[in-house]
Amino acid sequence: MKTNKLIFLLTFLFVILSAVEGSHSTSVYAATATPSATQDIQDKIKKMVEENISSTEASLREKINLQILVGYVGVINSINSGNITIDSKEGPLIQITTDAKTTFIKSGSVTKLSSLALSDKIIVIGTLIKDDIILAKRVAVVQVDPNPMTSSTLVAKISSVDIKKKTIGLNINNQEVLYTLTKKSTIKLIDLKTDQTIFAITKKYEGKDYLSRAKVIQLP
Amino acid sequence: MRKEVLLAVIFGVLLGAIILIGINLANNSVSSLPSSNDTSSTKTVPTPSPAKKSVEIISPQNHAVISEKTISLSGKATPDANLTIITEIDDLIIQSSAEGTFSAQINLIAGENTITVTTLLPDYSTESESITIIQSTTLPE
Repeated sequence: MKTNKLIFLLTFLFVILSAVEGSHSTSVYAATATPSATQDIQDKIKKMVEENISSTEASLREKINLQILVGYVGVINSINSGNITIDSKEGPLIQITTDAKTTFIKSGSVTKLSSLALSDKIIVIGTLIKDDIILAKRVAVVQVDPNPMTSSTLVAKISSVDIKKKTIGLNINNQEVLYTLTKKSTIKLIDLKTDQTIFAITKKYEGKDYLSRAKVIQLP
Repeated sequence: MRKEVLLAVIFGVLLGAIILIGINLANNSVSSLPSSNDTSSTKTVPTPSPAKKSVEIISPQNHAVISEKTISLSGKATPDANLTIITEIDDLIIQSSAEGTFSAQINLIAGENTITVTTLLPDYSTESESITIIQSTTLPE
């Protein structure tokens, strides 16, 4: 009988103490493990949503690209079984694929792919299959201007103004460069004075310098 | 009987204390493990942001194909900046708005049109952005 009481008491105490401690330890784990698990699930959901969005975006972009016309200009670098590569102003080679629907125009007439030659300057209108691959709808060979007019912008100090000759001298790298006004120029020479600084659009054609537009700016 | 009860109480308390210490030790060892979500030890490597452009053409987009002969050019620059716009036909000097936006009507020639917008920076240097667009009145289907 005594032994039974003793076993009962020991078991009772053990159960009570374990229950108390058990509840304690659960709360400790709850404080550490549950937010971590929630975060994991959130991260997984976030990753899945992001993957889904980017895949949908890529798919939509491809569909849109196939509908929007793009135009590229460049010089033919290679022609190979319906594929053309061009060097454009932006540098990298651009691949052009052609199909039965592609029209080729040279000297204003419809022609064939075989009439295109290396170094021809072409304008390609088509749709983007990939970032640097165009499915051409129209390829037109254009004439290259052997002596193009170049335009640029500069900031310079006026060194002289000649109203009769319609010229303005600008101090470029400590040297005076004479600019003649273009036919379409809106510059009023009477408003300009020596030592003023101008923000201007210049042209160079057949070795001569021209001034198209100018605005006097105030230096601090 | 009282002696036995006292022994049982002491034994129970000792047993509970041992379990308590054991669980605490286990908790401490688990919490000291590096967690995948522990950001306190993760070093954030700053990604270099691309240099912000002083001038940007928003519309039309580079390589656009346009059937109209006149279009509206728009973009962003620094507030109240002096800008030049050079196209195949037009030369313009304009000023951006107080918000830094600008727009202008420009005429296009048939075929290739290069549009260059240049801004005057506070140090009197210049920065430009160019686009190439194609004008064609008859667009391919």
